[in-house]
Formats: sequence, structure tokens, C-alpha cells
Amino acid sequence: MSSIILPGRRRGVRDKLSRLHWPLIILLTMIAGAGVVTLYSVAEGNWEPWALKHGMRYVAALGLMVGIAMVPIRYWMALAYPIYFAALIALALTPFIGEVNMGARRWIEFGGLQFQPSEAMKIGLVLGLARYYHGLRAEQVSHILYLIPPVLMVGAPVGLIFIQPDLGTALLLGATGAIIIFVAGLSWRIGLAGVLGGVAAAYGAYRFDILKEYQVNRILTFLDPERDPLGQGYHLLQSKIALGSGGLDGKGFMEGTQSQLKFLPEMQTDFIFTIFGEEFGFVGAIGLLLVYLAIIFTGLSIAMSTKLHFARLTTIGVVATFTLYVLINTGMVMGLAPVVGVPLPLVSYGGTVMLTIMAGFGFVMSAHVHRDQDMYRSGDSLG
Amino acid sequence: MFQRKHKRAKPQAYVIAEADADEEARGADAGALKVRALGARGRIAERARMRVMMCASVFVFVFAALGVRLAFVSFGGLGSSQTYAAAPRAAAPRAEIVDRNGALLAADLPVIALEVAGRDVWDPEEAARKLAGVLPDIDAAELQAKLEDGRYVEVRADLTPAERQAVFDLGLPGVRFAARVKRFFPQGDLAAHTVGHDEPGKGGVMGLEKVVNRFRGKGPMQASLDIRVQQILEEELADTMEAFEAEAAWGAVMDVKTGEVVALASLPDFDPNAPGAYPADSRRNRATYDRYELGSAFKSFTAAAVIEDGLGDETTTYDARGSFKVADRRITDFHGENRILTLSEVVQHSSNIGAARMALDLGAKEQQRFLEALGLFAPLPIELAENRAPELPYQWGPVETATISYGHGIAVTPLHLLAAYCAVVNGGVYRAPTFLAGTKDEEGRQVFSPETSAAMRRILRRVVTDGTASYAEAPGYYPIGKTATADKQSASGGYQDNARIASFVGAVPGYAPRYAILISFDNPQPQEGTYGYATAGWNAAPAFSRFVERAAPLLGLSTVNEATALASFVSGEPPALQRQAKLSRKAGSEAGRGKISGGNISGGGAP
Repeated sequence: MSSIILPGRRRGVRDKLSRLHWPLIILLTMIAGAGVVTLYSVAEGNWEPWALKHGMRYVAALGLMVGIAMVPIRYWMALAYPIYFAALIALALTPFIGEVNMGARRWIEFGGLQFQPSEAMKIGLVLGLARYYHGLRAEQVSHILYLIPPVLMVGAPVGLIFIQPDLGTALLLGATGAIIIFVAGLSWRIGLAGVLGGVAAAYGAYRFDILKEYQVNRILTFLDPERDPLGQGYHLLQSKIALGSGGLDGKGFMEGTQSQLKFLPEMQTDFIFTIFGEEFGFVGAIGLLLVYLAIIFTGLSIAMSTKLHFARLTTIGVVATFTLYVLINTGMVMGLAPVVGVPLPLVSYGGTVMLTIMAGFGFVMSAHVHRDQDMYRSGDSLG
Repeated sequence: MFQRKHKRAKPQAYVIAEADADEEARGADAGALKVRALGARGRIAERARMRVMMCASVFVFVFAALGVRLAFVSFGGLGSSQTYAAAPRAAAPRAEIVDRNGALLAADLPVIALEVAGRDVWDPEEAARKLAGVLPDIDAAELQAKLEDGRYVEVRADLTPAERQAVFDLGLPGVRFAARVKRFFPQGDLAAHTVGHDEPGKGGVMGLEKVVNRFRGKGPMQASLDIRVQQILEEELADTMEAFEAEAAWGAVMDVKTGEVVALASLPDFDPNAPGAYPADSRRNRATYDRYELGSAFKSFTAAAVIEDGLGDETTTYDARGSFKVADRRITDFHGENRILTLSEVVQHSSNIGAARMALDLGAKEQQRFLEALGLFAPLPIELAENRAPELPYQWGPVETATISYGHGIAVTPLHLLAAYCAVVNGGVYRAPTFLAGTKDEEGRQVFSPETSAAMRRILRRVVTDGTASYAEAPGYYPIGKTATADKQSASGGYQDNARIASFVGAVPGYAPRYAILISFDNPQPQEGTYGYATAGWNAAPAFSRFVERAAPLLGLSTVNEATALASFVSGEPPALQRQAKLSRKAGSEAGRGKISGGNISGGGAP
């Protein structure tokens, strides 16, 4: 294996560890810490059932991240297509071997572990698209023929997830794909045509009843929460009431009445930002948002500084996924986005999403650690 | 290794060099190539960096918008504070749910909740001890700990007036009584799956409760259920389920003329007043949500389709000897008459071979057309959220055509089957089931001609008089119907050897059906009294008979004599109409004679 590494480019693990982006790790840990604190409060001051597990999972996921970061980004580039297609195959098989969970077939059992192929696809798609655009020359990027493979690469998993049905994840994946293609340098004209086409498709989906009734309802309720103040809109109103009741500096740790009295569903996952905002107020919530923004900017600056096109696009993809999670979740609880059940990364309870996010940042970190390495344009030569 | 050589051989031409990272040594002799590479790669990198910057600006903008929104929500801007005030918990009462006769199924009940604000309590130990004194079910130590932390605690969600007075008399500071509204289900577990239940803070989460808000301000929501009939159905299901040690049971009663569901049960069931106390398995509505291969009941659809298309009549014969090979599959009969059967006898004795031969006469296209018209290809448009699309075969070749003719290889919900069955016996009109009274489906969809339907009624009557369902007889009501004993699918995809679903789907009165009834048992075990049999004829059919005898008077049915029933079976007209027809015929025959070719039950076994 060592033969793949160019002479003079080999680094010891200790050297690599020192090259890790430690500020990024500290920021991520701050976010996870906020998660532990909030989960402790949601459980009425208990480590069980969420807070302790959340902390332990973070530590494990951090280990995974560092592990991924130690592997040169070029190896990941060689593995990009295999990872993408493995995720795609798992996704395609889900309807047949998947477990039905709350009306949707999303999980498959794998050696006693449940795993969600749609989560693996979030990583797979980023790597796959980045790998594809890495191999293109400048004049090919905006050529319409060269746009067909990436559109299929995005369309296939989005379609498969859409029919599971999981509207939120499908949209998230589609948007991530669009951002990568945009950053890869697609011409504005084609991009604009694509956006218009997407809007037309969305309208068609609504007109011809492709969306399930509950999905249409969620979007309609988002547009007008008062439409149904005791049904779908109820969560949103309660969420806004709870956030608003926090005021400037919050009610204090474990003092949130709205949340403590269980007015909200899924407090430990989808609505956790509300709890955080109620207990730590405007100051706390803005602080949390700023930490998120700092992570996003760290990611973007890594994307700016890395030399390898694949690494840049991968980083952008991971950062985009992360950003969309944050925006949709916080937007949702503040009434700016529909209630689509997207968790707040690293704060919401849930192992799969944490694993996805941290694995994603592993690739970002690997891009950073190996940022000075030269790279062949075609990954084939890596065998 | 090869790779090393390969890479060393031609490094420079393919190196991605960038304008700002050029210090590293490069071969000057490869200058020209480098410039070209640099140009292309540099352009991509530059454009990508610009786009990253654009993304960054958009992200900053969106985060700023989030911050502004957060400020508005936190400090009550946006002028939307009225909205918050206008939406307290359960401000508008939710509509009541009543059955078709007005019996109450679900209603809002005002209750008083007891809350204690820890910060206002003087002495947590005293408060906890005294509260536990009048409300013995609370844990004093836990409450004390919470109060000491200064927490706001909801001690009880509903107090009786006496309890409230007792707590009030304690005179404790920090104690608050909050008026709340609780959803109450006076019928308990009766019709629990249809009525559904709610969850605090979420509203209705299942059954009609989930859609009851559509009726807010429009008076009670009148369900099509009749709880008296529901009660009888649940009792009969439970009795037989226990006697045959079945894992589960379900049943439904549908008005064949309107599609209204008069009763629908799924056992084991639960009490919607305390849904959390029951396993999720008990809360699942098996009759509308689970899909099963329901077996031989499909032979009725096959036979009706063959008659409708003019490919056969009650007397057409089919070779049901030995076994029948379709492609690589060998089809055999369970009851094994092993002779040539008429179409009627194929249904009576439930011959798989006969049904398969019929279906192959029909062809896959026609079979699909009929099954789709019978609503078996799509989810039922019912009011309950608990409904499922049927599971259809991935490919539909000759083998599938053959097996689907007797109900294997297609999985539908039990209510799908019952609704389709209504169309076979009611004169051929399919109507989608509904759980609301008075929302009559105007026209329905004519799938079979009235003549085909009349022929099917005669055939299905013979199933009871001279077939597999003799125990389904209910004297005076002339029930018609079909047994179905299907091998149960195992989780891994094949069939379980010794597990079955036994069903009887029938209708009363048989000569002019008004109600269709389905009764099924999941994996009933052979009992001593049944000579080791656990097929539908031994459990579902007798349960059907007992249900009909008890429920018929409540459903407004009365017994008629044999002559009337026979005449009606033969003519295909309901008795009253038939009498009129007879009178007009008499008048006609005196004038001209000869037009009437008196009805004639062909085939064996007159009712």
C-alpha cells in the first residue's frame, strides 16, 4: 500500500494528528456538549435515557472522524464510486428487505444493527459527485452531455428515498447535489433552467397527487400554521410559544415550563432547539447559531485552501449537508420551514445522523490534513 | 510495484499545479505541458473558489435572517402574539363522535389538573407529604426532590371534584388547578380501532379521532358503526378465537348498497382511554391495515369474471382431476373431488385446479381488469389513516394468473376483500367502503351485470347448502358465502407449513343481500371437536352463523319462507319486486303468452 504514497509525502500518525484542524474539533465538541446539556434537561435532570448515550456516541463518532481523517484523501477518492454504488444498491434493496417503521420502509437490518441506507447515501452522493467532477476538464463541466451522469447520480437516490417515503431527506439530498454541481462550475444558464424545471416538477407533484396527503398537509400548514391550530399547526405554535417564552436570557437550565410539561412532540430530536432556546433565551440560541456558523465557515475555508478538486467538492458537499440540516431544523421550529422531521446536527438525539455528520467531517478533516498533496487528475491511476 | 512505476513514468503532464502553489519543484522541460494543465485546472479551481464564496455569502445571509426571526419570536415581534393567545390548548372543543344511532363514542371531558410550582412552595417536604396524604398514588419522595429543585411539576392530569377539594383544603402555597380538556371514550375497547385514540398535545393520532377535526363546529361526527352489531361481532370473534386458540381475529360488516361499514373489529384490541397500556400490536387495525393472502374467497371473483365475460355459466365444466401443471408450478386441490366439476361445483368444493383453469380461460389482462374494478389494486379511500395498498406480484405471468384465481400471490387488506365481495353479490356495483353515516357513494361502479350477480348468489348459496360451509347456515336468512383457508406467509417470504388464515366472507339475506360480512381467524389450531380440522368451515363459518342469528334482528332483517327465497334466488329480484313481477307476468301471459322462460336453477343442489 505504501507504494501509492509519493516519496517525501509520507507522514507519521503523530505528525498527522498535529495537523488536524483542532479549532474545528473544539467547535464540534461545543455543539455536542450543548446537545448533552439539553438532553439532560429534557429528561427532567436525568442522564438516562438520552444525555449519557449522546455523549458516548459523540466520543465514538469523534474517533471515527479522526480515523477517516488519518487516511489520505486520495484513498477516499479511489473509494468514492464504490461507496456511492454500495449505498445506492442498499437503497434500492430497502423496499424488499427493509423494516417497516412508522409507515415507511427506511431501515435495513445488517448483522443485528439497524441502518438507514438513506443516511449512508448522504455521504455516498457527496463522494460520488465530487469524484465525477474531479475527472472533468473545464470545458466539459458545463457541457450538457456531461451533465447527464451527475443528474442520474442525484436523481436515482432522491427518487428511491422519495418513494420510501421520506420527503425531507429526498429534498435535502437533492439540494446537496445541486450545491456540489453549482460549485463544480456549472454555467448559470443551465443552473437557472434546472431550477425552473425543479419548480415545475414540484408543482406537477402537487397537482397530480404524487405527494402523500400528510406531506402536502405539512407544507400547507407551514404556509399557514393557523390553518389547523390543534393539529399539524399546533406543534409549530407551541414551538414558537416556547421559544418566545425564553425571552432575552432564558428561563434557566431545567426551568423551561413548556418543554418540561411536554407540550411538544419529539423534544429530544426535532424540537430540541426550542428547548434550548426556552431555557437559554435569545442569547443562548444566537450563540448556538454562531457556533454553527463558525463550523460552516471553517469548512468553507478548508474548501478554499485545499488543492485537490475532489477534496474541495467533498468538503463543500459535507458542509452543505450540515448547513441544510441546521437551517431546516432551526427554520422549522421558528416557523420558517415546514415541519419535515429533520434533526439538529449533533444536538438532537439519534445515532445515525451523528455518525453521518461526523463521518462527513472526517473527509473534510482528511482534506485539511492532506491539503498540500499533489494529485493526479484521473483517479484511475490509483488503482 | 506496478503502480509506483506507472506514476513515476508520467508525473508532470498530469500534475494539478495551481498558480499560487508553484514553489514545489517541477521539471522545467515539461513547461509547455504544465502551462496547459495549469490553465485548465486553474480555471476550474478559480471558478470553484468563487462559487464557494457565493455559497458563503448566501449562508451568512440566511443565518442573519434566522437571527432576525429568532429575535422576533423571542421578543414577540411580527404582531403575531394574538396568534399565541388564540391557540391555547383545546380552545375549540373537538367534535363528538357518535355511532349511526347516536350512541356516544368519543367526547371532550373537562378535567382539573394539579400543578405545583416548586419555586412558590415554602416547605417541599411538607407539601409532598400532605399531597401524598390525599392522593395516595403519588410518590412523595420523588415529588419532594423535584420541588426542592424548584421545578414546576404536573402532579396529576385529572382530579375528581372530591380530590380537588381535599387538595384545596390543604391550603398549600404554590398549588395550582388548571382546567384541561380530556378526550373520553365511553365505550372503552368497543370499536377501539375505528374510533382511534388521541395523545396529549398531539390530538387524534389514529382512526376517526385523527380526522374528527374536520367536523369542528359542524356538530357530532356520525360514524357508520352500529355499536350493538359491533358488540356482537366482537363477542363472536373473541369466543371462537379463544376456542380455537387463534393468534388474532378480525371481522367487518358492510352495507352492500351504500358501502357503509356497520361494524369492524380487530382482536386483540385496546382501550383508547389508556392506549399506552397495550402493546402496539393490539393497537394495529388488522382489518384495514394488515395485508393478507386471503385465499379461496378470490374464487368468487374468478367465477364472476368468467360468467360476466360469457366464457362460461353455472354448468360449464372444468377438469379437476389429479393435478394441473402451469409452467413450472403444479396446482393441486386440498379437498380433492378428483373429477370433472361444473363451474358452480368448483366454487362449492373450492377447487384450485378449476379456478386456475377458469382464470387461464380469462387471461391475465381480463383478470387484472376485473380485480382493478373491484378496487383491489389501490389503497381504499377510507377515512381512517390506517389503510394500505395491496401487494401485487412483481410480474403477472400464467403462474400468477393461476394462483391469484384462488387468492394466492396477491395480498390485500381484509376490508378490500369485503368491499369487492359486496360487488359480487349486490347486483354487481362496487362502492368504496366508508366509516361515516349518510355519505352515500351516489352511483358506484358497475363491475358485473345483475344477471352475473344473481348467478353468483345461487352458486354461493350452494357453498352453504352443498359445499365447504355447511356450518354457516342461519335458518331463514339463507346466507351465501365462501370459505377461505390460506397458508400464512412467513416473514422470510415463503409459506409457513402449518399456519393458516381461516376466513368466511358471506352475505345475508342470500336471495337479496343487504349486509356483507367477513370473519377471519389468524392461525386457529385444530380442536378435538373438529376432528383435527382448523379450516375455515370449522371455525369462521360457525362464527358467521352465530353472528347472523344474533345480529340480523338488529340489522332489520327478518326470516322468510323457502318458497319466497327460492323464487328470489331464481329470478334475481328481491321478494317484493318479484311479487310485482309475477303479477305483471300473469297479466302479460294472459294477453300474449310465451315471453317468459321461467327461471331455472341449473347445476346441482337447489337452495
